[in-house]
Amino acid sequence: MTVTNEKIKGIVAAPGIAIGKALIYRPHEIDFIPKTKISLQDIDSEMERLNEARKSVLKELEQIRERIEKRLGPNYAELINAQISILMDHHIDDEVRNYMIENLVHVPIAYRVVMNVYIQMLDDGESSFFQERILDIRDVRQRVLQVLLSEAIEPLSTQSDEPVILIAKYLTPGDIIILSNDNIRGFVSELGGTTSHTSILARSLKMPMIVGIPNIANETLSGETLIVDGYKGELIIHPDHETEYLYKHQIQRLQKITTYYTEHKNDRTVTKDGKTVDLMANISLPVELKGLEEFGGQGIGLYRSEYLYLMKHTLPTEEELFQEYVTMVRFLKNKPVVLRTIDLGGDKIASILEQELLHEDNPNMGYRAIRICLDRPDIFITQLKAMLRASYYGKVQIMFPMISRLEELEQTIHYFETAKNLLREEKIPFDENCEIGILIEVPSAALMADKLAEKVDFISIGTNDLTQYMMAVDRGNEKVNHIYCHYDPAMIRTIQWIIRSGHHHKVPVSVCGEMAGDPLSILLLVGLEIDILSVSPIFLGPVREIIRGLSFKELQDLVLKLLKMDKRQDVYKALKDRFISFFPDWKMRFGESVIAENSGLQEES
Amino acid sequence: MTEAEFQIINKHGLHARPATALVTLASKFNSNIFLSRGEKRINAKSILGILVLAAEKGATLKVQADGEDEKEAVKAIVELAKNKFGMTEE
Repeated sequence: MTVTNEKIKGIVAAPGIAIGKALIYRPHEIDFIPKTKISLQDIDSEMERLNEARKSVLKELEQIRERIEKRLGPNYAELINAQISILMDHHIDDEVRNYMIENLVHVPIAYRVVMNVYIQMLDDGESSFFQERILDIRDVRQRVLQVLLSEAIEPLSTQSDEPVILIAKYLTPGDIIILSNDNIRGFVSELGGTTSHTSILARSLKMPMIVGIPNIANETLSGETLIVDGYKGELIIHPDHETEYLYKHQIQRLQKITTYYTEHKNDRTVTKDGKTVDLMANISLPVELKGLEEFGGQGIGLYRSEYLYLMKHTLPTEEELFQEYVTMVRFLKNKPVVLRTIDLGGDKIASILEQELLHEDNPNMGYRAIRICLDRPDIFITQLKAMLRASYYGKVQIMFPMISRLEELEQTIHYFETAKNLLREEKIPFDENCEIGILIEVPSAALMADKLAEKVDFISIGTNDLTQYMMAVDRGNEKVNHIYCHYDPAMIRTIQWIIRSGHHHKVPVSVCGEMAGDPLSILLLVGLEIDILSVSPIFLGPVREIIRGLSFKELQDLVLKLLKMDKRQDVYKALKDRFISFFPDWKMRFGESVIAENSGLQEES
Repeated sequence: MTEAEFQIINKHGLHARPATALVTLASKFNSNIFLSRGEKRINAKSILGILVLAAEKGATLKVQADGEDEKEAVKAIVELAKNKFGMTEE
C-alpha cells in the first residue's frame, strides 16, 4: 500500500505541471541473458528469430525517426539513420551462426557476443574519432536484445495512450530526444542538474522535469499516479482526489495564460510612459527556436554554442558549426542573433577537453571560456570562421565570455581579425560589419567596463556568474549559497556602473542572466536604463507583460532610493512592494507559481 | 583476384554516411570484396566492418575483389573514394 499524497522534494530542472502514471525507464545494459542451450537443428529457426527481431526494431527506429524529424528537424534524425544501417548489416550473420554452431547457445547470446566484438574493436582504436559510433552500436544491440528476450520488452513503445511520467536514474539529451512521445508528460530523475542540456531540452519541449530525488527509479513505483510540480520542485505520489482536482485546475489556468502570451507576442515591449526595452531570447539548442515563434521576441540575445561540443565525442568541424549557425540565422531572418563563443569549463566539461579540465581544484576560476579559446587558437578560429560565415546570411553579433582584462580582449580581437583574413583568402563571404561584444561576468571587467566599452559594439552582463564572483560564493554549496543574492547593494552599484559605461560610449547594454527573467529584478534593471533583456523563451511572455505594465519615470526615482540603501533586505522589500503596486493582481495574471519560482516573491518576509 | 589501393580524402574520414555509400556500391557486385588496413581485413559489404576500420582522412586502404565482376568492382570503389564517396564538403 502506498501512502496517499506523499510529497517528495527535488530540484526543478524544467517548469510546468504534469499528471500521469509512473513509468520506470532503465536504458542500461541487459545484464542477464539466460544461457539456453540449443541443438544444431535449431540454428535456422534461431537465425529467423534474429531477422524477425531486426524487422521489429527497424519499424521502431523508423517511427522514432519520423517523430524526431517532425519535432526537432532533420539534423537530429541523422542520428537514427546511422543506427538503421548498423541494424540491417547482415554481414555479421555468418559470425552469429558460427558462434551458435560452436557453442550451441541461443541467438541472443551469439548476437551479443558478435556485436560486442565490434564495440571492442572500435574501443581499442587509437583514433577517438570513431568513438561516438560505439554508442550507436550499443543502442542497436540493446534494442535487438530487448525484442529477442520478450520478457524485457521495452515498455515505452508498447504502452497504451495513457499519459505517463518517465522516471529514470539519469537521462541524457539523446534519451529525451528518442523517448519523447505524445504520452510522456514529464520527467523525474535521480541525478542531473538544472543547467544541463537534458533540462534545457525538457524545457523547450515544455515537459516539466524534477531532478535530484535519490532512489526514485524504483520498480515499486511503477504504475502509480504521480503529479510533477515543476514549480515547487515537488513530486506527489498517489494524490488524493482533491489534490488531483486542484492541479488539473491549475494546468487549465496556465494554459489560458500561455495562450494569452502567444496572442500578444507581437506587442511592443515599451513601458506605459514610452521607454523601449528590447526583449530577446536565450537559446542553447536549435529546438528552442520554436519558443521564439510561439512567444515573439526581437531576436536571440544569447546563443550558447556549447552543445555541439558537449554532445559529441569529437570537436565539431567548421562546416558542422556553420550549418548549425546558418540555420538559426536564416530562421531569424534579419533579426539579430548574438552568438557567444564557447563557454566550456566550470561545470560544462566536453569529453574532448576532459584531460585538461578534470583535474582542477577550482574549475570556476580555472581553465574555461575565453581562456581555453586563447590557449587553443585552433578551436577558437574554427568557431569564429563558422560564425563569420553565418553572418553573411543575416544579422550576427559575436560575444566573448569571461573576459577579465583589456589585454585579453585585444588578443581576442586579434584572432577575430585572423579569422576574417582567412575567409578573405578562401574567398568566402561574410558580413564585414559583424559586431562584437563582451559578456561581463568577472568583477575586474565590471570595474574596467568604461575602458572595455571603447573596444566593442555591445556589452552584455552575465548576472549569474557576476554575482557568484562578486560575492565569492559557489551557488552549488549549500553551506554558503544564502550569501548569493542579486538584490545586494553591491550588485546594484556594479550594474549601474556597467550600464553607464556602455552608454557613455554609445554601446547598448543587455542582461542575459537569471535577473532578466526575475520580476523584481526587471524593475531594477529598467530603472537603471537597461537596453535589452534576454531570457529563456518560456519567460518571454511574462517579461513582456511586466515591461508593458511599468512606469520608467517611477522606476528611475525608485532606483535613486535603492542606491542609498545599505542592505539587500531593504532593496528586496522596496522592489517587492513596488512590484505589487504595479501588479496588484499578479497572482492571477501571471500564475502565482510561474512567477514566484524565479524570484524572491515566494519567500514571505 | 583484383586489388588496388586508395586513400581517404574526405575531411571527416570514412564516417557513417560515406561508409553507407561504400556498402551500397559494394553490394551491387557479385564478387566477394574485402577492405584492409594494416592487419584489419573486413567485408566491404558490411557497415560494421567499415566502421571498425576507423579510417580517418589520409588513411590508405587496400581493396581486394574476387569473382566474375572483380575488375569492375575494384575500379568502381577506387573511383568512389576519389569522388569523396559522393559527399559534398563545403
